[in-house]
Amino acid sequence: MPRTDHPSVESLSLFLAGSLINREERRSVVSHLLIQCQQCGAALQSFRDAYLTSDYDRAFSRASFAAQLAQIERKEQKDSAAKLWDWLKESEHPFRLQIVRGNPLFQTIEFFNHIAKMVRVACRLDVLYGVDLAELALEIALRLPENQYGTGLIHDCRGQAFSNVGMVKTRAGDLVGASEALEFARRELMYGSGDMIEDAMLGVNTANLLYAVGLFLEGATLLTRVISMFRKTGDFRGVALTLIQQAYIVAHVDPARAIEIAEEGLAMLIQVDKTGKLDIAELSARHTLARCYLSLGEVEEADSIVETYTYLYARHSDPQIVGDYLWLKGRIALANQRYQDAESFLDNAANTYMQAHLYFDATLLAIDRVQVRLLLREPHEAISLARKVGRQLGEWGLTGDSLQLWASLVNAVAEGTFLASDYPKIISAHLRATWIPRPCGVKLEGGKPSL
Amino acid sequence: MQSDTLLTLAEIATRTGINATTLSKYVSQFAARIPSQGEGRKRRYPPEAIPVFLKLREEGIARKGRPRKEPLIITQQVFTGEDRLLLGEIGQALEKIGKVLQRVASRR
Repeated sequence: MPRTDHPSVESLSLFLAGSLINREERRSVVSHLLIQCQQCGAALQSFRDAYLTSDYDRAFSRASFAAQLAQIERKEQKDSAAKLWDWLKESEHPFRLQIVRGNPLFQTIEFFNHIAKMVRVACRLDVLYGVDLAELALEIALRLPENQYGTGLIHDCRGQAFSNVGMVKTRAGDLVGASEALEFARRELMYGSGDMIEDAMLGVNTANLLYAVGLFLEGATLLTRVISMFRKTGDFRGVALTLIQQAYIVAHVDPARAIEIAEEGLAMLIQVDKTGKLDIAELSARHTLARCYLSLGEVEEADSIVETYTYLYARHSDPQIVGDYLWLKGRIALANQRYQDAESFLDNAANTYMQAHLYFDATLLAIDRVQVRLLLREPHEAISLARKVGRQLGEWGLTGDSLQLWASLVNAVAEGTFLASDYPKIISAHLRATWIPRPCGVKLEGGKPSL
Repeated sequence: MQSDTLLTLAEIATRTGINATTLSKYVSQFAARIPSQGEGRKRRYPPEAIPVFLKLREEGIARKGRPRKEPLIITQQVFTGEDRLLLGEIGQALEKIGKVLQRVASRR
């Protein structure tokens, strides 16, 4: 993949021969070598192999010494990035942004990488904290000195930073903000070094947003293209993870096909991840499989998957995972006509989602909770819950036809026609396409609501 | 979402190093593959069209006689061919998302 800011072959060979007279050009070659560009490293090696004369050998030693120095410097910068974050993390978010804006000490690629790495994990544990970190990483990326790192790398970093902002905003329910951030990311990457992995990661985050607005088929199609790109680069870890994500999306429209994709992803994941570091991806695949079997009416198979892999669920305390686990357990109990158990699991899942501001999931879950109350012959509780959620939806900014649809659900519950209706599918599809922006706790006043 | 800047064939020729006449041949032979706006002399091309032209050149279509020249001016906008098409597809996906978001906003 050519990078437009690489030194030319001629400059490199002149540099090795010690004959690069132009000072600016020499400085540009040295600063490029300092970022440890693999491609130019390989080029240097090939020159050395091709012309193993004393002159080139001596020059190569000089380059190798520079590379070693750079390595030491990078290690120091990595350590210092960790120290800088230790110092900064106790501060409030606006103060952090101010510090980063005004101080070149924080405007380094190592500090950017340090923060960017934390975003995905932080976002799973607390989505709002994830948004803060993604914004901080973006602030750093926008201030990286171009003359030090080169134009291509700078655009890559900015693209990655915007892409991360898009990812966390999708999770936080700010879908308009997410869409804008992803478009910025796309534009930055167009001017970047052409790193295919960055493009693929942007594809993954865009597919997540497509899924969030209910464009399942479009999301799955885009991921097919991303998978082929990962295959082309030989990144089978990326292939496995993307297949699992694709299965998760396809499960909404074609559970049988989703099972095939999840199995393929899982088989590949087991091959590439010998250490079990990616157990969260394995959990996602197992969870998708269980959901699909349940949708296809194979309740025993679904139950057996959840029981077998309870240890995987237990390793993760993220509210989304805990809530999803409880919801699935509740739906399995519902299918097995263990209504008391189902009620208990589903209510616990609702509490988990609400505590973590996952209001969208809590609302979809409420439909199952209404259903289980009706099956337990508790119509008054069912109506009361449906009305309570309806009031809350109004406070969360839903208007017009969405509230009317919910009101018709409440009527169906009151008239006793709810169990024979297809409300769960209709409402989840409608809310996914129209509930934008979704509240995530940022603008809520008067404490957390309960459902 | 389409990019804001639209380019003429001459601008694309400068950026890619492909002769403007060759570009015209590509346009007449492969109009369906090349994204464009407007008609006739007012026809303009989004940056997404550049990788398509580069791909057509790679395929060696409409190239006769003189050997291919290397790009004269390599700018940041020159993509690396087929692989960057993913960014184009992401752009189309974001356009679809934009339409959904606009529809929702107009309902409010």
